[in-house]
Amino acid sequence: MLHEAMIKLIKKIENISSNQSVGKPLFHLDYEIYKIDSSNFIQIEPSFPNRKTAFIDGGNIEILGSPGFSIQVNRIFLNIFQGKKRILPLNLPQKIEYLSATLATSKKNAIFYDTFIIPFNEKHQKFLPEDKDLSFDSFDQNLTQGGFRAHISHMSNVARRFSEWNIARLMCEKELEEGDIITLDGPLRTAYPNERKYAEKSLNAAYSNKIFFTGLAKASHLYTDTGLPLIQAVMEVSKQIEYPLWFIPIAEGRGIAHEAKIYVTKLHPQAQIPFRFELYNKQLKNLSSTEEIEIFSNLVNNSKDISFPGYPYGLIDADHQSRVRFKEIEYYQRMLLTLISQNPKLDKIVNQAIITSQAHDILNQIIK
Amino acid sequence: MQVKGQIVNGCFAQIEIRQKSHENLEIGDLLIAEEHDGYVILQVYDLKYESQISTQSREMMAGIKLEGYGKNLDVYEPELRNYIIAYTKAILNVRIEDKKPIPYIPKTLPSFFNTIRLITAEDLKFLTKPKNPLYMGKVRSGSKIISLDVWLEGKEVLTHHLLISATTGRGKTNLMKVLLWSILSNLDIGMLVLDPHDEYYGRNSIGLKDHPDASNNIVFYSPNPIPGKLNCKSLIFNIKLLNPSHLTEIENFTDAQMDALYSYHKSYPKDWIRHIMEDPPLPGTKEGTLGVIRRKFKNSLSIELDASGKLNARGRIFKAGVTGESTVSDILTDLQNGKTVIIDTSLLPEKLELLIGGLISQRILNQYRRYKMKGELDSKPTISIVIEEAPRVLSSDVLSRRDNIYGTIAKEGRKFKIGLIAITQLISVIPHVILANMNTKIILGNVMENERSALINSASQDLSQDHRTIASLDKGEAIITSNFTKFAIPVKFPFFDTFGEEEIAYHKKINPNVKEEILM
Repeated sequence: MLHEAMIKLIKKIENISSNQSVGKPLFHLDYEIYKIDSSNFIQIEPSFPNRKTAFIDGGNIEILGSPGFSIQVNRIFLNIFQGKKRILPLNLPQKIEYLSATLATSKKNAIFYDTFIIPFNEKHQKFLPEDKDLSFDSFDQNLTQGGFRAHISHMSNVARRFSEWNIARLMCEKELEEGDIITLDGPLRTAYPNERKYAEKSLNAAYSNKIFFTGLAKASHLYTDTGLPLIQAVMEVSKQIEYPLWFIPIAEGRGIAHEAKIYVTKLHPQAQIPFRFELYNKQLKNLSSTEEIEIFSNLVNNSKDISFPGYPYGLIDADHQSRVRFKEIEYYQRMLLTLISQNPKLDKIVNQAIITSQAHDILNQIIK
Repeated sequence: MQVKGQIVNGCFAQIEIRQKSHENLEIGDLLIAEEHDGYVILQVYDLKYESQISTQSREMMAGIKLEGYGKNLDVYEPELRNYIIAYTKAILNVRIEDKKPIPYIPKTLPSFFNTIRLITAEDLKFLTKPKNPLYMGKVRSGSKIISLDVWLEGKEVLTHHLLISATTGRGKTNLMKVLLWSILSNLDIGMLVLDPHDEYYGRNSIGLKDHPDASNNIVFYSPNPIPGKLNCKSLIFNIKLLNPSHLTEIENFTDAQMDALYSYHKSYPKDWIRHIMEDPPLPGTKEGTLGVIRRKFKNSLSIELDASGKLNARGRIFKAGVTGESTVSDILTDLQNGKTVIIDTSLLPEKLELLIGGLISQRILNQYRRYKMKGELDSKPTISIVIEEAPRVLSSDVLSRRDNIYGTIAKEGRKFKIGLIAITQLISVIPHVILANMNTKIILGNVMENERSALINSASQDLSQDHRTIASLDKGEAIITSNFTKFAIPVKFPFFDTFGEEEIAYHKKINPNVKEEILM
C-alpha cells in the first residue's frame, strides 16, 4: 500500500514539474523585471582588483524561553579580505556578543514583544540598536506567519538584523575606503518594522563614502511565474552559457523596502549552485559596466576556497565565527539559572513559565 | 621566547596544545608553560590532526584535488583551519623559591590558554652532578639533544639495581660501554662485567681499555687473553672452587646423583671432585651412579682420568692441581678495590658462562654478608654485576625451577651494597617481584607491545601514556625512569666510539705531560 502510494506521489510531482518552463522572475509590485535569457548573462572576466571586501554575519540561540520570554545569546562577526588575504580591522572589534531578552507585555490591549539588549562588553553598546526600536505588536503582519501570532523567540533575529545594519554603517564610516565593498549575509530587503531606519543610515553611509553595499544569500525563496524556483530556472538557462563565471540581473527594486538590484551569480567554475546577489541600486547610477563586472570579479577572488567553491570565503569565515553552537547553551543556561535562583521571586516566575512550555518535552519522554 | 603552541583543552593526563603553524612538535618533546611562580614541564606523547572543517568536507576537498578537479581551488587560511593538536602530560612543576628552581611532582593543571615554548638547558639546571656520578647521556627533547648532561648518583642507582631494556640494535651495548666508562675511575664502585660477546674491553677497537685510568682500574679475564697486555689474565678456575650447587647450573642430576655429590663434598670439602673421579665409590654410593657423574663431569668440565688413573683437566677453564685456585679471590679483591673486572665468556658455552658468573657472584655475596655481620660494610665499595640476556637467570621459568644467585641478589643485594645491572630484550618474562626491585630502568626502543606494557607497568614514574613514545625511540635514545629522579628523563646516549675519543682527547688536553700508557 505504501509502495503504491509513493509511486502515485512521484507521478503527480513529475506531471506538475515537467510542465514548468523557465518563465519570468515573479515579484510583486515595485520591481523592474529582467528576462532570464542567455543573452542577459554577463561573463565575469578574471581580474585582480585591489578592493577590500568586508563581510558581516551573525548568529543567535535561545538559552531560556517560554511563551512569555525569550533570552538569547547573540554573536556578530565581521572580517575584511583582499582576495584571500585577511586584513584586520583597525577601528572596530571583529566580534560583538550580547544577550537579548524579549518579554511579552500588554500595551494598547494587545500583546507586544519588547526586546532589550545587553552587550558582554559595555563598550560595544554603540554598535547595537536601541531598545525603543525593538518593541513590536505580536500580530504585526511583517512578523506573523499564516495569521498566527509571531513567535517570541523570533524577535532576537530582528534585533540581530538591526545590529548587522548598524555595524555595516560603522564599517563604511570607519574602516573601509572608497571603492571597497561590504557584503551582508542575506538580501538587502527590509522586512521588519523599524528596520528601514537602520538600513537607510547604513546605505547612506555606503553611498557617501563610495563603498559598494551588497548582500549575498545562501538560499533563495524566489520563484518564476511558472512556479519554478528562480535559481533552478537560472541554472537551466545557464546550460547554454559557455563561460564558467557569470552573473545575470534578475530584477531591480523600486520601492524603499528593497533598494537593490538583484542578480544571480556563479562565482567559480566548480560551484554547484549559483547564488542570489544584491547591490544597492543607487550606486548603480554612476557605475560603468566594467566596474559592475569588477565587483563580481572581486568576489570571485574570494570564492576559491576548496571547502565551498563559489561561495565567498569571507562569509564562510563569518558564519563559522558568529555561530552560537548548541553545546554552548548549557554553559550560558547554567550561569543564568544560577543567578536567577538567587532571586526567589524571579526564580519562581521563571520556573513556572518554563514548565508551561514543556508539554512537548513531556510527550517526547513518554514515547520511546 | 619562541612560541610553539598554546594550551586549548584537555585534562590532567591529557593537556591538549594547538601547535603553531610551521612548527614541528615531536613525540617526546619537552615543553615549558611559564607560570607566575615558576614553570611546568610538559611532554608530548601523541599528535593528532585537527581541523575546523568537517571530516566529510575534508575528504571531499582531498578528492577534488586528487582527481584533478582542483584547478583554481585552494584552502584559504590553511594555518587557521587545519592544525595539529599535541597531547601532553605535565611531568614536573618547577617553582622558583629563593631564586632557585625546585622541582615538584605536578598536582595541578598549567594555566588555561597559556602559550608554550621548547625546553632549554637553563630550565633543567636543578639537575646537578652528584658525588658518584653515573653518566646517562644528554637530555633529549623529541629527537633534539639539549646540551645538558644527565648524571645519577651511582652508588644509589647501582645498589638498587638497574635494568636496561631494548629490542636488538637499539644501542644496549653502546649504552653500557658509556656507563662503564663514566664509572671506571670511581674507586668506591667495583663493576663485575660478564661479557658473553667480548664487547667491552676493546680487543680490536676502542673500548674500556682505552680509558685514561684503564691501567689501574681494569682487569680483563679471557680464555683467549691478549698477549703482552698488563691486567689481561687467563680465565682459569681450579675445580676446587666448585661445590655441588654450582654444578647444578650446568648439568641435571638425579636425586641419587645429588646425594652422591653432597656425600663426597662433605667427606672431602677441599678436593671432592678429584676424589669422585679417582676413588672407588663411598659407602652408600653405587658404582653406576658414580659412573654417570664421572661422564657428566667429563662433558661439562672437561676432566677425566689419565692413563695412570689420575685426574686430568684438559679443558681451558677448569684446572686441577693448584692452577686457578686464587682466581675468584683475586677477582673479589679487585672489585673491593673499586676496579672494573671484565670476564670474557664469548668462547664458552652458555652453561659454563652462567656457572662462572654464579661462582663469582656467590663469593661476592657471601663475603659482603660477612662484612655486614662484622659491621664493616659501610667502608666497602658498592659492587655491581652486569649480566647480559638477563632472562637466562631471572625469568619466571628459571626462577620457578630453582632460585639462583642473581635472583637472590635482585631481592636482597641492596642490603649488602651489591647490585645487578640486568640487560634484556624481554622484560615480560621477568617476574614482577624482581622488576619491582629494579629501581632504575633505562628504556631504549622497543617495538613489542607486551614488552612495552611490562616496562610501563613496572616504571618508577607514570608512563601509561608513553607506548608511542617508547616505540618511536631511535637508536641511542632512551628514557630513564628511576626512584632517584623526579621525572622520567628522556636522554640520548652518545655513540661510544666518538664519546671515547672525545674523552681521551679531553684527558690529553688537561694532562698533556702524561705519557700515553700502553697496557703491556
